[in-house]
Amino acid sequence: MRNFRIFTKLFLTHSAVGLFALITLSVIFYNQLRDALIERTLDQLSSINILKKELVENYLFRSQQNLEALQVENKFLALYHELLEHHATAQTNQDIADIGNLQKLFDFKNLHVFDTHHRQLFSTDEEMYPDGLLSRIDSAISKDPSKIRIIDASAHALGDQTLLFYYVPIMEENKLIGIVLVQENFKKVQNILVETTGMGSTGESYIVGGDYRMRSTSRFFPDTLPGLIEVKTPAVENLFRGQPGPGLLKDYRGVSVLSAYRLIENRDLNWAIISEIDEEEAMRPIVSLRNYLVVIIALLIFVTLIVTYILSNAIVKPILRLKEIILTLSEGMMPAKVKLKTSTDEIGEMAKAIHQLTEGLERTAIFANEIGEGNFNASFTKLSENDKLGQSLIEMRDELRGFHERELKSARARASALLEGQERERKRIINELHDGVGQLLTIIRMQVDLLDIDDKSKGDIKTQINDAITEVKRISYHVMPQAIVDFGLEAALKGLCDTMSRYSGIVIDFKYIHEYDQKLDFEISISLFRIVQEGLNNIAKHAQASHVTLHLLDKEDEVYCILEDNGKGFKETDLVNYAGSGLRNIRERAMLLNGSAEINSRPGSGTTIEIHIPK
Amino acid sequence: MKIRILLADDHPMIRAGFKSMLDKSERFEIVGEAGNGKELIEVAGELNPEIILVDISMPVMSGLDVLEELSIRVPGVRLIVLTMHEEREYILQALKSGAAGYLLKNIERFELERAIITVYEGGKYFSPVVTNILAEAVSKPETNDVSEVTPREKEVLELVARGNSTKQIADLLGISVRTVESHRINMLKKMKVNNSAELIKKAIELKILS
Repeated sequence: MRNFRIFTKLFLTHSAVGLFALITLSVIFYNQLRDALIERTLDQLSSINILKKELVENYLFRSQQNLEALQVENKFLALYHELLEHHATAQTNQDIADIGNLQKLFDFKNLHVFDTHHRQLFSTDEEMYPDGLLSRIDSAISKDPSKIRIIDASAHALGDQTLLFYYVPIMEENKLIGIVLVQENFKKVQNILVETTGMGSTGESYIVGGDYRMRSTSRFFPDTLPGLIEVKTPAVENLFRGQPGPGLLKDYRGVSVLSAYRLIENRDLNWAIISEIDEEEAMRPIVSLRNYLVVIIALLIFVTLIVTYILSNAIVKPILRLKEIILTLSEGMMPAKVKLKTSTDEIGEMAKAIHQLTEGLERTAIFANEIGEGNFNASFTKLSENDKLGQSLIEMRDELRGFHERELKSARARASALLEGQERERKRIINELHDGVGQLLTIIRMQVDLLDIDDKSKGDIKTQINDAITEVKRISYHVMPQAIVDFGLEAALKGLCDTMSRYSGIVIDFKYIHEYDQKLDFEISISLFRIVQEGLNNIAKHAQASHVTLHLLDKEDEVYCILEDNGKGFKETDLVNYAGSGLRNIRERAMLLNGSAEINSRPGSGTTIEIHIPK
Repeated sequence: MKIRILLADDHPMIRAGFKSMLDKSERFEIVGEAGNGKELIEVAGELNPEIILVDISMPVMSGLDVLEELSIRVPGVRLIVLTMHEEREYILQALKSGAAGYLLKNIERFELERAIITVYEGGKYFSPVVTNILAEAVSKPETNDVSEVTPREKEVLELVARGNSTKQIADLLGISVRTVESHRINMLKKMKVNNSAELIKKAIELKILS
């Protein structure tokens, strides 16, 4: 069971419950109905059986009465005498003719008159009776031969026909002098039985004699002599054992039938009358009901299948979707953002949980990614109090940030130490140039005057020495202006602007505003000077500008510097190319002091450099 | 009477050069020499010279600091700076500190003599290059036209007066920090003041701000 898919499980349980209920109900219902049907059918059979019995009994009784009436009139005695003494015949004697008419009137099969020696005196037909018939009748009447009797003379030995006779004694002065034998027309009894209205196609009523032989013709074997059919069925056996009553049993054909049976109440006859119908036919309505039930069960299974399919899909689909998400997660990928249709059942709750999981993981992943990309300011809210991964990532971020900051600090320290050393070295160099080479050149120049040469040569030499001095000054200025050491940034920048204007012809609008009066750090000063120097050099070299604005705002917390030209500008993409190294130096210088440099330019509208250096 | 001159330079060779240059003239007498600022002050007090030729970049005590000190210690002395520096800051600073002359070291003998005599006689003397620089320094055109203060500048000014930082102003007006700063600088220029405090004061005086 646990290896089945949900669909199979649901289907099996649904089917099991549904089928169990339906089959139980069906069986109960079916049995109840069957019992009721059997009972009703048996009741019906029973009443038919009674009716047939009454009809047969009445018929026999009436025939007997008619014969009795004739006896009382001494009709037969008179007839006997006529026959015996006068040898009269039907053609000669009226009475004899009347007898024939009577036989026809009462529809007897025939009528015979015998003397006590079994000599036939008269017969209504020519039929010959089988041997032994009269001896059978004799033995039947031997007890009391003076009464009218009904005699069942049917016997295998007598040709399997049903032979039913009325025995009428001819008495004179209490002495038997002759016998009248009237053969009943059994067809008439048969007709009573043949009437099968309300008994369907298999229902029949029939009569069985004490010898377990059929007396009436079977509905199923109309061409077989009744005496050939042995009816040793439980019904007949029960009857002859004195146990009447209807029941479900096997009939003479071996077919299961519903049967109602009774003994015919007649002093002389040991007959059973039985009314039966095949169980199959009686049960036919219930069979069709059973078929309906089978169809309904099949239908139910089908409906269960469909309902289960829909239901299991409704259950399984979100589960499979969640499975996909979990699989994707387990493969280290983020599932595509799909808003799950959330129900409020357990699956919905699970979907929510997985959604939360996904979101958490996504958040964590984004966080980890940000750390990976070096964004150590990324913030992260732990997924829960005990979010170990989140905690580790936060710790990692903090450690990396610390490491990064230390690294940055030390890199900055190294860089600024390098720059500082460089500047110190430059200071030394300009000192050497000024006080060493410059002074030496001045001395040499003075000594030229002492030479014993003509004035023109002196002038030439002096001019050359002057040029050398100017060159030394120019070099020295580029290495580091003495003014920044002695007077600070403003003076140095002013000097720089003057020089720049003088040599390049660019008008420089220089303004230095001291919002704050303390002297600027030399480090900041020299950096800003270098930045401006770099910027102005760039302008002079590339910008083709005619006007430059250089404003510095020396505030309490920072120095703000803007350098703007009206030159040709450049495309942002060119920033990395030709203007690159100079502008990059500006940025790096600013960054070494924790400041920033923003460079904006558009072709045709000049370039603006803004610098913020914090103090 | 010869003019009594004291020579101060940290290079003996330079001193020797100028000494021999001045010795050629009957009018001058080199009364002493000094190799640094400290020595100069001591020697000047003792020798009481009429003219001191001083280099402004000397060890121990720089020339510019020495100038002021000398004006106090040796009353009546006339100071002439003799230097390699031709940046205007040096020139202006030297003048402020009491120098009557500013000469570059590549000066010719006759010009040196003329300079000393001019200064000795109460005048001032500058090398031609120095004169040019001085002329440039004072000829900067600056405007102070209040009517040119634009409404936006006035707006910025009002916010500055209320104590807002540049960043706050930029956010309030929806403009860049740069624009705010340039408005501010433009106003400082227009009003010829050096910082925001002065700017606000002047703006109130001029009834731009109430």
